[in-house]
Parts: sequence; C-alpha cells; structure tokens
Amino acid sequence: MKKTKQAHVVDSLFLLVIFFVFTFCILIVLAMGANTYKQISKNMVQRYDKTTSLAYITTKVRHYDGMGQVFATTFDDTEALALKESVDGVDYVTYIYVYEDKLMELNKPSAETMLTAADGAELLDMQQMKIDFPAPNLLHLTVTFDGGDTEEMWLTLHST
Amino acid sequence: MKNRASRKSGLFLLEFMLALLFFAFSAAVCVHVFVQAKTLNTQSHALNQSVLLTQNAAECFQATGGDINLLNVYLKGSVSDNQLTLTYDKNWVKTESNNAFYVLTITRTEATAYPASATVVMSEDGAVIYQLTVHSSPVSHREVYP
Repeated sequence: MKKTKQAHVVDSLFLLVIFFVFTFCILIVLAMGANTYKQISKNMVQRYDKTTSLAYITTKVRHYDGMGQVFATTFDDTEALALKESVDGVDYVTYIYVYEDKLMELNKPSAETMLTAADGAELLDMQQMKIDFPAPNLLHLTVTFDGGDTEEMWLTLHST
Repeated sequence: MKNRASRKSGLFLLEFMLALLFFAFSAAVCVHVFVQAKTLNTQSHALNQSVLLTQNAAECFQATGGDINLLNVYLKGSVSDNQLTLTYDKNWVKTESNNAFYVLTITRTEATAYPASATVVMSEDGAVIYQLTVHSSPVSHREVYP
C-alpha cells in the first residue's frame, strides 16, 4: 500500500518536471521567434528609411541636373541641397535639408524671404546630412540615419 | 487491479510521448523557419548595401572619366594595374584587406579606351553579390581633378 503511494508521488513529480521542461521549451521557441521577428522588422524599417531617402534625393538631383542647377547652400542656418529652376521667368529653388531629425523639402520662389526651415514638408527620419562637392561634377552626401547608421552617396552631375 | 493501473499509465505515457514528438517536430520546423528568415534578412541587407556601394563607385567612375587613380582619391581603396579594390568588414565598415569580408572591385576593362568602361563587382568570399558595368561620362577627367 505504502509502495503504491510512493510510486504515485514519483509519477506525479516526473509528470510535473516533464510539464515544466515542455513549457520552458515552448517559451524558448516563442522567444526565439519574437526576437527574430523584432530584428527583421527593425532592419526593414531602417532599410526602408535608408533606401527611400537616398532614392528620393537621387531622383530630385537627376531631375534638376537636366534642367536646372544643383548646389550646396545654407538655408535658415541649415546646411541644404539647393535645386534651382526657372518657370515662366520666375526663379524657384527647392531646398532639401535635415531639420529636427527629419529630412525636409521646401520649394519657394528665390525672392521669397519669409519662409524658414521649419516651414518645409517632412519626408523621412534622418539625423544629419553633410553635402560637399569634391569636384564640380561630383556630389558627395554623408547621411546619418536614426540609430547612428551613416551612409555615403556619390552622384555625378552631367550638366556641369 | 494492478494490471489495470499499469495499462492506464502505459497509455498515458504513450500519449505523452506522442505529444512530445509532435512538439519536437513543430519546434524543429519553427527554428528552421526562423533561421531561414534571419539568413534571408542578412542576404537582403547585403544585396541592398552592395547595390548602394556599387552605384556609388559607378557614379565616381563616371565623374572621374575612368581615371582609377583619381577614383582612389575619392573612394580611398588600393590600386593595382587597372583595378581599385575596397574592402569592408561584416558590418559594412571599410577595413584593411586582411579583415575583409566583402570586397568591391572596380576594374577598367580597356586601359586606353575612351570613354572608359569598367566592371564594378561586390563579392563575398569570391561569390558575386551584385555587379554592374559602367561607362565614363564624356567629360575630361583633367577638368574635375580636385
């Protein structure tokens, strides 16, 4: 009688241990999945911001390279890429710059002086953008994204 | 009475073993899928970076009129013959050639031809990730030397 009771206790204990091992394994697999998903999702967002912003700047530069002027300037104390064009005899300038951790764009007539950097349209998250022209036909951008990831971009200007 | 109890626990053990087997199989499949997802993510990141860096090199090649030495002034790699080599570590940070994981080579196809053309290749352990061919713009490189 005593032996049977003892066997029951061991059985229950064994079952309990197995149950906990089972639960632990499930948790480990779930944690692995969650971690993988988190990492992939974070990378995708970063990649989207990076590729979209760089492609956007490239497209803008290509567009204005054919019909206008591309140069580096300072707009409202902010380093900016200026894209100049003339429509019906009126000069317009598009500024692409980083303001308060956002990539911004502002299009205005060249003579207009009331608009500030804060008036631009927010495009994407970006921390910093350095612009330089190591040669007259070569634009070099050093862009820092959220999280401190820095990328360089070189563009040939065909109009110069 | 004893026989009945032992038959019952035997059945339970069998059921338990089957559940365990099913779980182990599911876990193995899940882990395999996770690993595959991570590998795909790494490959996708590598392809993105490769496209960006090869395009950068191609743009510089165009701007310099195909002058490999001038290209080296901008991209800062190592030049040998008609080839410029840039090396990157696993995190895509420029590194010395002995720590190289990814290698970008810009090879001018014909040294004397003008406009010049080159093949830009990004590779990992000799396997090509991305490659493109570029022709220099019809601008004299002398005009753009810094």
